[in-house]
Amino acid sequence: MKKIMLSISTLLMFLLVFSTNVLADSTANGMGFSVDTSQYGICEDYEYSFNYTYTTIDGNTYAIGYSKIKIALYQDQTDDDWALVIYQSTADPKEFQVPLGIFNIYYTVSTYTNTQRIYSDIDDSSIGWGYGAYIIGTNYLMEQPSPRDAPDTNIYTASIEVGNEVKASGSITFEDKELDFDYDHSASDNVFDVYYNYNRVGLFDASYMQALTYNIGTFLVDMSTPNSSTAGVYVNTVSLTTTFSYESITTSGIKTTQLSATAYY
Amino acid sequence: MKKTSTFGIIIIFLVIGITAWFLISNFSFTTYPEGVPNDYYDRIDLLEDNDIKLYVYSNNIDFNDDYEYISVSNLFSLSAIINDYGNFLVIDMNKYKISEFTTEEEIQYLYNVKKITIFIVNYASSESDQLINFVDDRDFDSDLIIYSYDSSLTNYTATNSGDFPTDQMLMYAILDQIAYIIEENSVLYE
Repeated sequence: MKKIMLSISTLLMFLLVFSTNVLADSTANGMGFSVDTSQYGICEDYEYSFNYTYTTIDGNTYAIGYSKIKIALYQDQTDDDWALVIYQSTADPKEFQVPLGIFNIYYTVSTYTNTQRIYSDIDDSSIGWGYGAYIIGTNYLMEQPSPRDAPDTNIYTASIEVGNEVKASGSITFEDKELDFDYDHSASDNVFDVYYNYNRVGLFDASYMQALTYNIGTFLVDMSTPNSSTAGVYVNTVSLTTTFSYESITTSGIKTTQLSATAYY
Repeated sequence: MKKTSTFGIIIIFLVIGITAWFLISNFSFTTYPEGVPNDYYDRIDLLEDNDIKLYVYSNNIDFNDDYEYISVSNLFSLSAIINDYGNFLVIDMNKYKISEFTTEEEIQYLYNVKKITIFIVNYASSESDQLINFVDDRDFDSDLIIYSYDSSLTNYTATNSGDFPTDQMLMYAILDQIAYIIEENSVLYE
């Protein structure tokens, strides 16, 4: 009897784990999302780009910050006209030291993240990436990912979050109060544009400025009138612009770095 | 008179205290390779704490002897590696373009079967035509291309979008990227 009970328990546990894995895509989980595989399938493409931001002081070059953008694409399994884009950006200001005086005593320079901007122009044909005319149409629309009422929704609600750690798995709650941000997104613009402002004033929390942070967001693209492409059915380039600043007793400055990541299927 | 001298002593101690605080908070007694951030030794400690094995095929990358890596000269040196996400291989294209190291098929094997995270460095600046089928054309302009796995065991490619001003920064970036991979995929390194 004990063996039967044990077998049933094991089977139930297996089914529970198996059913959980089926529902959530693991790549998305790693980026802090819960993407339903029954609707969006598995990740079609997954890329990331990173860069270090430098400054020059007294002829020497110093790294003052690190930024990264990850992008993953999904195709709607229930409607081929829709693609889901998720991204995760990173900002990590890097403290450094410079020599001072004739004795070359080193002093520390503090660094901060000022802003991050994530931008994707869906119908921008000037990317010049060499894969053909893939997004020159005017019928690409974006809307809030889930739930969505109809593919032709013109009003977008950004799904945006910032945190100091990557969320490992499970559903997330988007919080727009942790960081001051502006976003501009609508079907008429065909642009996804989020501006994160770390440099908060007054009663707002500015603690993220000196910390390693992760921003995540997501948007859907309507490709009901797709254009031909030698790369794939759908191509998306997300650009990231990060501004870091630094200051110490003798020096200060501000530097901006831009990078981009392209994914397609 | 006594009150005055007590007050003077307090003032002296305050001045000494403020000066000491200013010096300790602003000046550093640890030296770093030129231009690299202050978390340089913390990143090395993280790699060592996680028993990372870093194999390097290069004439120039030596991490200033601050980090104990394993220098390799041919693929035979890697044949004994067991499948483990804690193995990392750096291939410097400045060396690879002038001396034979391995084939694209063998690198595919190391990546896909042995699960080694592969760093291809100086790809753009070396103007090498090696590995042309292994490297995605999206990454041709990069001097640091990473082939790795995330915590869900999905393989992915990561690229640095710019060049590195110095070899010190390139070496720091290699250590820093391994540290990020460990931190963001901790389940693989527990």
